[in-house]
Amino acid sequence: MRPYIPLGTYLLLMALAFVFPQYSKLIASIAFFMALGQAVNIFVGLTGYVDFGYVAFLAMGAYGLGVTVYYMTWLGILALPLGLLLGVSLAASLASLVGAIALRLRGAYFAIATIGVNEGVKHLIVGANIWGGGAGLILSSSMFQAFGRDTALFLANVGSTVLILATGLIAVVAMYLIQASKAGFALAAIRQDEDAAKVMGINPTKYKLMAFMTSASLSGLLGAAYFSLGNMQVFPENVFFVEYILDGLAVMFLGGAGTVTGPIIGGLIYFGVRYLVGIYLPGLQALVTALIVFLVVVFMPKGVVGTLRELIPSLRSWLP
Amino acid sequence: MDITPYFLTGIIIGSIYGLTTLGLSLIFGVLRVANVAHGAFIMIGAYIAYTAFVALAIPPFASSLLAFAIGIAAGYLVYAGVIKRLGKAELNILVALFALGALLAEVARLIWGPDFVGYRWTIGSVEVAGLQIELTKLIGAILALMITIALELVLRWTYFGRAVRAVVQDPVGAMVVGVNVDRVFAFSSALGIGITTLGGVFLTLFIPVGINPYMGGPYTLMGFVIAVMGGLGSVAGTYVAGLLFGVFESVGFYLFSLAGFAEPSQMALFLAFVMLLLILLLRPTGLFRI
Repeated sequence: MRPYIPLGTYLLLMALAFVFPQYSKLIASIAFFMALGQAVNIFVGLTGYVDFGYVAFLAMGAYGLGVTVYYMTWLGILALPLGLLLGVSLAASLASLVGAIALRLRGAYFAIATIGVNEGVKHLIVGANIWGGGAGLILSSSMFQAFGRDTALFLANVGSTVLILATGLIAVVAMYLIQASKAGFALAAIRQDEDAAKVMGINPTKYKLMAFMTSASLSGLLGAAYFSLGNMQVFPENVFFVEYILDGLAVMFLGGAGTVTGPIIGGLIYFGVRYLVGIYLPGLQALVTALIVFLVVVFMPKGVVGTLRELIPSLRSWLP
Repeated sequence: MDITPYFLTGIIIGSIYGLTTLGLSLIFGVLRVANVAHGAFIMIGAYIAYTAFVALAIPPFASSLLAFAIGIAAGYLVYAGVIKRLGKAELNILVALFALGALLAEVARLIWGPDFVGYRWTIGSVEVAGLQIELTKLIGAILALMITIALELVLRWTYFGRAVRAVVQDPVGAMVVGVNVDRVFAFSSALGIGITTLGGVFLTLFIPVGINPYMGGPYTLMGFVIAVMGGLGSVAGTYVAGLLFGVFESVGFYLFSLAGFAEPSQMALFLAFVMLLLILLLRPTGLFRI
């Protein structure tokens, strides 16, 4: 495996965000799709399971950082690392809770169990009126106070973009480490035949849970970087928006499920399509997203990378 | 205060919940496919009722036949175009259906716009146990029960029904004894989604301003709660679970509004989700054995 393309892409985009801060937001929106696809891929691509309540992990990350900055402004700049840590922990805790219950279930039953997770958590926050309830958290003044005005604006612009890219980078490394380890073989066995894997002495729930929590933690980091840091606000209608799981699945399936490079290529194509649709067919982005997911899953289930690898086998080591 | 009126309201809406969930349960029982686009087909049925009533002055009980026919066609297309085509690729089927649900919502938004719409059809009301119940709702609930019984009779006494039950028990065994499994799958998918759109029409009697392109999501969740509670694939179990859910929702709403601190409708949905997890964990085969 030659990891140059995935690692190089993220490092190059990071350098671009520093050198051209005026394009930082543009890079952030491309990077968001890539990193989301990358995080989704670690669970869906490696296990063959699908979680329709996945967006809740983005939201947990956003709330982790948001709540820290909003309620503990006196922490100053420390609020950033602590908030990110809290966001990742919240996402990982939710994943361990959902996973401990639902990952005992197989395929379709798991999907059924997760279908309400996103809305369920949202209803809890809005219904019980916690963490700002339905009104959400507006973070700009807290961030100005905690970080200082200039630092806060820099963090919201360049900082969030670099953090989103870092999420994608960590996801690439995590994917390598998992696939090269025993866990990678165990997951491949589970994906192909869960019963056979079990007979061979593999504990499916353990490995599925591991992939699930890794994926969720990365999404938590992504949610914190994109919503709380980048937009300086956390609105339940926004962070629990069900569309994001379709975005993640679109990027992952477009690129190629279970591949490391897939989400990068998928993210670029997906961003390009959304951009063009935004210009020529405004208001139809959501329709096009759903259409892309449907068509790719039904007619090109291997995605761009998978199909390319099949056509040109020598690309395999370059497009891991 | 007396909770009898809430109980009664719950039973009546619960009858509709049972009806709308029969299709989801049938499709899972026969094809082992979780129709995650379920709510979108309810939404389609609701818009058919709305358009028929507002534009053509056709009452919902008549337009439900049209919705049923459209649902049957859609269900056949879903089977032939997605489920049969993807075969054993369960992940792809689930994702494709999920995307199809989102696609239908977006298409509905293009046709009917993003706003909440609805209609009100009144033909009088009756008093039951001190509670005024609109006649349309009462008739809707009774018809829902009759459709459920009809489906149960079809599954029990016709050749098609026996073939369906054979496939539910053992698809390979059914094939060996000469059941055309492919046709049973196609039939069940068509019938299942037909009943779902029909249920969507009945539902509009209860939500006078609640028709919206994105209304499907909560009904998908609710559908799975009810279907899992009733035991996926069981007609009578699903209907009874629908009644239970209706009562639970109605009484729960009342109790939460008494509590005062929380947003009652949101909390009821949160509890629905918790219920789903608990039932799947403790009794994945459903609460009853009918």
